[in-house]
Amino acid sequence: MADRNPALIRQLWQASMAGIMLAACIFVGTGIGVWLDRWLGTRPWLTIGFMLLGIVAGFYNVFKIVSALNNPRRLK
Amino acid sequence: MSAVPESVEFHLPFDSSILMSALTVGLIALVSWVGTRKLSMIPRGGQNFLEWILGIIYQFADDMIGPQARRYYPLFAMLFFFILVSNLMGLIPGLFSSTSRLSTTVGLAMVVFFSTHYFGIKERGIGAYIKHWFGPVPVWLKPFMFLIELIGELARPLSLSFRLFGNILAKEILLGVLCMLVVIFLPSGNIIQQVLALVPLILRPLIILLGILVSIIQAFVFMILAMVYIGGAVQAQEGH
Repeated sequence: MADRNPALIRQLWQASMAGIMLAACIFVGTGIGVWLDRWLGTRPWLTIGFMLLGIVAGFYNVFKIVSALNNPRRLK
Repeated sequence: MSAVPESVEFHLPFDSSILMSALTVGLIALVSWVGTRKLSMIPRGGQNFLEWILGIIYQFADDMIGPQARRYYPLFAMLFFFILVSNLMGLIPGLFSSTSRLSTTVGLAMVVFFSTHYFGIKERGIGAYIKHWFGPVPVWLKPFMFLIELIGELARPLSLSFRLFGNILAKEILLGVLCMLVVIFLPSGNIIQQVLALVPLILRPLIILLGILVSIIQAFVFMILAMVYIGGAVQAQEGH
């Protein structure tokens, strides 16, 4: 284990997260939208809005992970 | 009726995954007690093995979080050992993995989620911590940025818990189904079905090997991701 590269291992796990994060973000966004719609009675507008936000958040997270893969110094 | 056909019904007044969690904790406590009973400067036997595993965990935490990682060693070691022992427990007939129940994995993910934010606020102060939620964007975009970051943060425990739950439940169901196939095919009296029963008999040991691999990898992934999240929260952001 002495010759391993910690940045590489961290990148590996982060990269494995990229796909599942995209799906999970959309799921969470839609979930928040449905919940708010039920609570405020504004169906279907908040569901649509938060689903779009979830999609943006998913791609934003994938972008963050991928740009970190290209530039290990910025990886957080 | 349990989701896993192989598992035994325990007829308890509470969910049997709590029993399995308690067994897991008991087993870890027993192994730790046996391993640390006769501590010596030159470790041997059980103490040597435990120190080797803990050494690897500490090394990873140091690499990912930096000098302040020492404070979070117990959390990572807890996550790794609990998930590992719990996963492997599912390979013993009659027992099942408490991590194959969503309630346990969500509980573990919640521990990571809340500790991430607690340690983040504690290390960096509440002002700096809240500021990084709004990102390096113009003022009119900040509310959207906050919502996007919020969704991203909430998606983390979801993906953590569902991956662990899905992997371990799949392993349990697969082993259970193979077991059931043998039970159905062997006494059927039909020669074709009896020959077919050989397939799960050969397949099952291989799936158990795969299950051991998956158990170790999933415990490791969960721990590494907890380190990545907590490391990201406690370190000052450089890129922004």
